[in-house]
Amino acid sequence: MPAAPAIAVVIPCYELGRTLEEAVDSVLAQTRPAAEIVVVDDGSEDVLTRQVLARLRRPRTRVVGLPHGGVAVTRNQGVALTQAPYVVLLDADDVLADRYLERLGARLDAEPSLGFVSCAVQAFEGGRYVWKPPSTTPLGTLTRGSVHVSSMFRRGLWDAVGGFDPELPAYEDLDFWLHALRLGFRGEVLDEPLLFYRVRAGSRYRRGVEAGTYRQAMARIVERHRAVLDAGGVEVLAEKEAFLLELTRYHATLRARHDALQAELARLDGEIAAARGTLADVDAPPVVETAVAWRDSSLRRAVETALAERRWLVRGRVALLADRPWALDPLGVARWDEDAPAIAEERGALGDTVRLAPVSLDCAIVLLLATVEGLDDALARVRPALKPGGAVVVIAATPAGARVAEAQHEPSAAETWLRAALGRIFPPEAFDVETTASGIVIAYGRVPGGAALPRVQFARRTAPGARAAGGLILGYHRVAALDPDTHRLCIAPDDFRAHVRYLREHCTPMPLVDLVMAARADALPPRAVAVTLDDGYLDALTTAAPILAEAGVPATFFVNTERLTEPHEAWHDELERLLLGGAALPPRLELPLSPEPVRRDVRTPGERRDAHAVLHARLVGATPGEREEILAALARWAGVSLTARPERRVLVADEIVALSRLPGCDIGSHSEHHLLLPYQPEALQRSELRRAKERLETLLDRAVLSLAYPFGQHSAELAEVARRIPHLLAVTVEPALVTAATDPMRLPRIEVAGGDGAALATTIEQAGIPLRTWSADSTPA
Amino acid sequence: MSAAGRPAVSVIIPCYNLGRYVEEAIDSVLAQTFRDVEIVVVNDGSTDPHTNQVLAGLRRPRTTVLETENRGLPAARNHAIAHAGGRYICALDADDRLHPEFLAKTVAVLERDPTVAFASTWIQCFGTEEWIWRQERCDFPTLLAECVVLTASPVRRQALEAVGGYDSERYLYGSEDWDLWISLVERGFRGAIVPEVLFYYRQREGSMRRLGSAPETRMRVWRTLLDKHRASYERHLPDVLLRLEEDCGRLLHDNARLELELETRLAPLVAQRTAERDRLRAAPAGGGGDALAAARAEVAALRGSWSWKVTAPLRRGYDGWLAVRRRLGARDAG
Repeated sequence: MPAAPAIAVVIPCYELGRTLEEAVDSVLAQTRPAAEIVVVDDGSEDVLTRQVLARLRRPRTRVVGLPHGGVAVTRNQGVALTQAPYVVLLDADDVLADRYLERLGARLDAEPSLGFVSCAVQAFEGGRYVWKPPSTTPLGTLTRGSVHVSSMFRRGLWDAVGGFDPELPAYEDLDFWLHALRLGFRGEVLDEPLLFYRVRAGSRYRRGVEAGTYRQAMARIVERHRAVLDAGGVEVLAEKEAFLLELTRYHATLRARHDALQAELARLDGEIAAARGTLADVDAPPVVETAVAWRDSSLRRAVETALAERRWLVRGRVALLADRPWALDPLGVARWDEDAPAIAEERGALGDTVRLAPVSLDCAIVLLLATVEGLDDALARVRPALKPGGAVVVIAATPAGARVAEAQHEPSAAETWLRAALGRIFPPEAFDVETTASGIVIAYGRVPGGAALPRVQFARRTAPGARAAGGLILGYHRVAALDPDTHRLCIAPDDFRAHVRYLREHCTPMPLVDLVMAARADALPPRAVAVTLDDGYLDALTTAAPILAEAGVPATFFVNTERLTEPHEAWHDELERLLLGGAALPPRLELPLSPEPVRRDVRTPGERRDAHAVLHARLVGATPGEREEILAALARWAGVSLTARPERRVLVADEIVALSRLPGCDIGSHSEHHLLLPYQPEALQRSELRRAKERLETLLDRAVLSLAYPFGQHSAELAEVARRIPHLLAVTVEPALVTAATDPMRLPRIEVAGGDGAALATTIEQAGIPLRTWSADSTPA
Repeated sequence: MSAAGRPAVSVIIPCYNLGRYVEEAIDSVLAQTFRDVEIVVVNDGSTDPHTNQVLAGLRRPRTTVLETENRGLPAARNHAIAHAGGRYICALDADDRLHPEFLAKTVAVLERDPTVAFASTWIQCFGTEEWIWRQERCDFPTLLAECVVLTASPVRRQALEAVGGYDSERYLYGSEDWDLWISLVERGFRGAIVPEVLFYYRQREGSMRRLGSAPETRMRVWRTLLDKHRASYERHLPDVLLRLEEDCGRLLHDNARLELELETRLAPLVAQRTAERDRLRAAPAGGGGDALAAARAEVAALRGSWSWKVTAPLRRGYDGWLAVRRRLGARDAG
């Protein structure tokens, strides 16, 4: 039996960043996969949309940007970019049920005479009804409306019709289907609601039924399809009137429900007013107009919490500005470098930014309590004062901010406003805006030159259905083919390339920080995966990073920071080189170690391997000084120079900087010396982690957020030390999925030991990454 | 009456069991600034004793009362027309009333322009809701799609006679005048609309055209008109369809707006208010200690919820009212 024909899904997107990812994910979750997915940006100007498009990385999904040309042009160009014999156009605010492609595709497979297949529609978000397209005859379509645009059609139908007419101000889909029907293409409508239609205020449908637009569109359609009128005669008018009567009846039921709810509301308001008389004090609105009120307000604590949650941005030289300067005095600001000896901080009024020296600040915090006016001016003056990688945090706790979430699903006015303000000074991928649970709107951005900004995907209401149960962190070490490879750290470059390709095509690769933040917010995309590489070998820069960058897969590299400016090998590689490197060794090894000296014959390869194992076990638990001493003694005994070999050495400072500047590459800490930290005293744990982080941050001039515990070994005590250093997250080597409940200081990670793409697929499958799905069964009650 | 003994306008008022209103209707005619008028009332075989009593005892200037057995509205009107002497006929319903300038201004149009066969006006609706029904045009496609001409519009007698008066063959559920206007325009006559409010219409529920009559009735009238005037409808098919599309667009728009409002504003608001009321009722009056702390915690949780944010604008108004009340209370106490 020949394979079922391929299906292309084209998703035009204009200003729909809020919902685009859901639309794309619903295509990725299909039981019959789409062969091609094309997202076509219709020249969106909305900042959020540009941000989402810039970050959109999904398997098998192409993102194409076009100058703004309207929905018809965008759909036409999008379809032209595909080849599959079946095509589906999905609007960026709608969602496919997971069996959509399977069910509709099956009908086209089975019935060669069908030109298109449609289905019933389940409304969600702003409405809750099921609508079934009433007809697939030309007369019925003209009088009662067409099937929806997201119906599956054959490419032959598309070619015959010639796409959508860009001249129509609305209802180009009605025109399209009428053309198809008049050309003799037959359609069918399935009863099952397989398309989720988002009801929202600004939709194209809503604009399409505006009086002027509607009239203009219909005039053109009636003129163009005069033949349908002539064939139908006065029956067209009878049918249209019947449809009008249905609409009228429906209108009457809506009206009645509306009036009933309003009456109910008035009654409830009366009852609440009566009951509230006794509790008015409890429910008084928070009014913050004075320094005293502010000091004692829960709002101040909420602002402090919001700042603390983003404290990785607050470091170095910080300026605090507020529209109400008295608010700054009692404000506690959590810093990333909270133990830094000299905290350089300036506090002042919002308009008072003239004395900020150029390129002097690591962070500027702007607090707005009364008004969002003046923010643009302040930002324009703050921006030149920021160093590369410097951050801006804007907190709007204003009446116009905290209490302005008027629409249920759309971003609040304050959120939109802050997004626009930051969009004027930052590129789209360099900032984000969100609203905290306490109603504070917070925006944060960083001047380019620093690391990719941690992106917090906060929880949103989504289409009906289940979310991804978890994300996966993959751990690699070396991308090289070496012998010996005692610790099995290597994956061959070709295999690694296959892994990366698999991730690109079948998973959603994300930066590690993004994945953890999204998991915490319960907003993971399907099959989310983050790639990490430990130990900072030279091949990370020369081999792994180019492969990753070529595929657009981000990765985090965990490096140690000992001897940063001196080319050297890791201690375990030196040990391996001394005992197993094939040099002519003395027959017997005698090392006067305390408490137990090592005395062994090392004549045969087996004896040498045993000696290596014993010494490795000793060195794992040693302090840096002991380790250095033992290796030096061993080198003297073996008569081998420890000059670093290029294929075995780790990265030096300049190379780490170079790696950090490659797209998608982030640097994390792997501690200073790669010790077995849980068995070390707390003071050493702290200095190992703090020194590594400080050296990297100085070197890279950016915040280092992530830690990989050396050997993956950790303890409750160590996790607490790591958290307080502070690190945003820390990875172990315990295999599991990352979920909302995962402790960010003990993140699970799957170690990948090589093998081809199929081996990786098996590893991921066994880890149990489930697909995020939507199904028709899980509609809202 | 004019010197020739024939009035310019005959107002005909068929009356079937509407004795309660008929005198008001007659008085609104007698109050016209235009004086060259006669009134012909037809008692269309009323069965209501009160109506028969009123009509039998009716003594008004320039007013004749005719008696027929019950034959329905169009036949009653035709009967009145046969006994009326005016150059223009105005068919007034027994329960409507005319603005004092109605005849003066409509008849002036007919007198000035011999090519105009009937003249309508704008309408003020009163009753449950007050709004003005403005019609700009009564060209043929518009008239085919919708009855935009007032029943009481004065019409030239010879035009009326040319189309054989009101159609008493078909049952048109009170839309006989619509059929008449279509028939007139079909025969080459044309109408005009005086762009002023000169007629008062007693408001029933909803929109005049679509919601005023039962949908089934409306559908039957439409079928009858489509059959009787098929050639006209076919000739003007696209234009009539586009007129219907205007209503269609309006309804689609209103329905979409209502759906969204119900789902995103009213329903969540009612749910949130219900929860708030239940919470307030459960809290002890004037509470303190643990109970108060618990209430505060609940309030904090509620504030964080999304429905709380959604309802912010409503509450702002409510908070303002509370503040005013508190201030007033404080002043009284002081």
